[in-house]
Amino acid sequence: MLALLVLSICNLFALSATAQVAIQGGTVHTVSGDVIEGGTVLVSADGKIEAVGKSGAITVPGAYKKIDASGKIVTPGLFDAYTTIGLVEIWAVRASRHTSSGPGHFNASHLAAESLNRRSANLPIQREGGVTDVVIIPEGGVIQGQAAHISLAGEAVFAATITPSVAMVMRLGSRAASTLGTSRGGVLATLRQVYQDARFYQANKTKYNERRSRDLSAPAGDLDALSKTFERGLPVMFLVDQAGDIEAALAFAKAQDIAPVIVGGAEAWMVRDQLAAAKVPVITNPLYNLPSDFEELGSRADNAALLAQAGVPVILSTFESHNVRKLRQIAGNAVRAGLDYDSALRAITLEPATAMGAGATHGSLEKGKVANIVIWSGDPLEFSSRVEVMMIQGKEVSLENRQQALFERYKKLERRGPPAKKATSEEAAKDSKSKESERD
Amino acid sequence: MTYRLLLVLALFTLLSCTDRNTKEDKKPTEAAIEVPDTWPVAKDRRSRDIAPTASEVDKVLLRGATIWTATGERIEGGDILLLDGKIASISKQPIEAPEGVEVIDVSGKYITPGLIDTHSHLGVYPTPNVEAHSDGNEATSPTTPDVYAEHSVWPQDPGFQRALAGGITALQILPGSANLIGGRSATLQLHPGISSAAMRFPGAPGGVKMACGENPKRVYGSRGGKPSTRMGNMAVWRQTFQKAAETRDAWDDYTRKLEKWSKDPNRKEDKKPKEPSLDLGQETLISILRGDLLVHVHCYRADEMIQVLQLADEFGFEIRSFHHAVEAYKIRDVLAEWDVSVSTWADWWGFKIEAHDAILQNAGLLDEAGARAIIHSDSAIDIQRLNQEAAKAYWAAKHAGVDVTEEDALRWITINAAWALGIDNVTGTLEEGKRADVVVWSANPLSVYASAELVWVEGVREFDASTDPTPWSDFEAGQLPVKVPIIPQDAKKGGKQ
Repeated sequence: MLALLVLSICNLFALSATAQVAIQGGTVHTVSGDVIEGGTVLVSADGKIEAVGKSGAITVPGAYKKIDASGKIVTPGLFDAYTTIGLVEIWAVRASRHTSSGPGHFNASHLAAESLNRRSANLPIQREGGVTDVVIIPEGGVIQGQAAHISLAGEAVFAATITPSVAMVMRLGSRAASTLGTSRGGVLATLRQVYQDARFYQANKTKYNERRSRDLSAPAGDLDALSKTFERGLPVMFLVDQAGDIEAALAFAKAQDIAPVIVGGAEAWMVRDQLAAAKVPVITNPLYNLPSDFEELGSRADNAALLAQAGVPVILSTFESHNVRKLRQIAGNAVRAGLDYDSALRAITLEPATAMGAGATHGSLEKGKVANIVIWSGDPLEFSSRVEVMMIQGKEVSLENRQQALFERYKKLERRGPPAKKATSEEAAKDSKSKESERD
Repeated sequence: MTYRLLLVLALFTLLSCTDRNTKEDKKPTEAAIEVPDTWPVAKDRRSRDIAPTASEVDKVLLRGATIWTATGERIEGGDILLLDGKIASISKQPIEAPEGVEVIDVSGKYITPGLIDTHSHLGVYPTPNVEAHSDGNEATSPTTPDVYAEHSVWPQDPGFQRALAGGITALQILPGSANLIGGRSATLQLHPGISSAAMRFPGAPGGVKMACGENPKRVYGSRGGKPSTRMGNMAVWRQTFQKAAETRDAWDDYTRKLEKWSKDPNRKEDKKPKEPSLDLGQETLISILRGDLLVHVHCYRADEMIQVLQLADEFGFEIRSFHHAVEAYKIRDVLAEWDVSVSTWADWWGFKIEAHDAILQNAGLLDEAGARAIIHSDSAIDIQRLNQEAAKAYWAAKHAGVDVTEEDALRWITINAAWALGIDNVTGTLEEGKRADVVVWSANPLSVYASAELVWVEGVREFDASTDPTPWSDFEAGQLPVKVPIIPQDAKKGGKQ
């Protein structure tokens, strides 16, 4: 059902102006399959990948626009599964901040997609980092609401909602406890009650609406939305770091028959065998390696590497709003900390796409998938490389943005008259000299 | 005054080397004692560090690395000899190993000076970041020149050792930015210490933190106080320095009168000039006015930086470094002319409107214009990869056609930072006679895959990635049923295959 929904919405947003394109001669990281040296990627008029293979094995029809990628690296567009991009312009400007689903505690019906500013100047800035797809997350309360899959496509607007609901977001542990004024056990008890009420509501909608039912622990609309997560339907992102909270999330998910995704997961490496056995993906950031609080005492830089080695699906995220472009740096650091290169690339492409229900359409260079493709000047994880071409749904997107516009304005300094001299008298000059020598 | 300070500094630098070299010396040393400024009253009051600080200094010859000296030179396959806590020699030709010197083959690796961060809150906002550890802002008055960051630094912050593992050897700990004048900074070196005083960088001049813009006016304005506007910020500053200038003048007058009185053979005790009043805050402010403290100003916007330069001009002091300064590129000609350094990030923006005009090429444009660019961290996470932050800024500038080199980028996190902290005479470059603050990198330090493998601080091998370093912080001992290494144990497997 989910896949169908994804496909239908993709079709809705497929851009008609897409050209037929052949990207030729590059090193193609398909992610799903082998790396192809001297590969060709064909993009069809409907913005899909038509063929991927060795250049010799693929016939390029004459009408196709050819892009020479020889000496370059071709990858799927990068995918960040946990961001607040487009929900906030400037954090300290309250009126520009639309990240919160509150003030309630159980905001399951809240859709982050409805707060997205598709014209936010922030969006094209993030394209610089090769990011074509993000999941946007609502914050606030204990059940935070529904996350959406967004594509950074477009010129008139900078983003398109691919799927308005890809996950339910929930918090356990200390922060949820403090929100509810209880303990971590109290949070679990409360959530069990909420889920019980969600099932009760499904069975007793009419009675409830006719006021012939018991009270419910959360608004009916939110309980209704929670039903999407029943029977391992809509995945539930659990925001948890402590190993014990991860175990609690796994147990809660099992008891309620919901499909969990662990987010944060600072101590996930400590329970990696359980996570691997349950095939639960972990969204994590390998830069966080400090015991920042009592839920992250086990933070370590090689968390992702240890998880991957144990067979846990690893997803790397910036957890960012304005620096999602750092995703490749984060992946590079995961490699530096021991994650193998292919897993790192997978952790910012196919793995997040799969966990967010878009594995059939996004995240790899495969025939039939949406043509979200980046051509890099070199290794995508390396600072010396940059995005040369970014294609979303088969259409090349502009890499211009507000920061570049500012750079262009100030690239050459229009002189505003000579700046005032630092030293106005000989004495001042002497003074400053003697001060220098004091420091020697 | 100048002479005296010079003597004091020379003396303590000397003591610092000799004492540290003595392994068995466990008594309180003179080494970490530092008289940071010349103010006559408080100088004698500064307490001695009563903690023992003794470490073993390496005698080591590093062979065959690519050496980036940060003086603009890059030596391929060079040797570098560390003796007595100093760089004894650097050469493109093989150096013969003196007797008793350990030889380490580091061919294929890179050597740089130890990295220096001009803006850190390690220790004052340590991890775990619980409220009881939040000691960075004395937000009880918009001006708190009397406080010293050193007194808030918790030396057990696990962040210190991780910063070291990222190649940091020296750093400035600043008070936060709630206050227009936040207090004195602490310039530290990364030896483990039982007290913050034991971590002082010997001979580093004192520094002071000031902050302009949104933070002070928000913190005090929201309490119905002053300042609540930018003009309020400026007014409080000017009032504060005006009063300090008057106190300074009163002291100068007193000193003159006292001298005259003391030279009078017929002097009478009841005619002895009376000492003017003074408090610790005034002491700091007057030290600023006298140019005895390096002034670090948190300031984002170009127009406000100009106003701060005007303030400094009005009261006759200098700004050593603007911090954050995301709009510095707009006034890089002025900053170059006034020789004010700029400590900034590679890519931070979006958190407040005064950070809205940040661009990736800030550092590159500043450098191109001849201003001193510095990449700082302001973060317990980013301080661990300051080399990467410099790399991001460098490549963004390079790709945009700005005239910068890799050597420039290295200076942003070494010698330029050292200059901002007034320690460029002893560290920040690899030069014979300078402190042995040295990092061996697994690869080009501007690569995302490069890790610091060996770090010497003052000739002490404080970090070795081939070992599983014991955590410095007591906080990390025995917390969990499993061991948590402070650095990845298979880090060397990293890198693109």
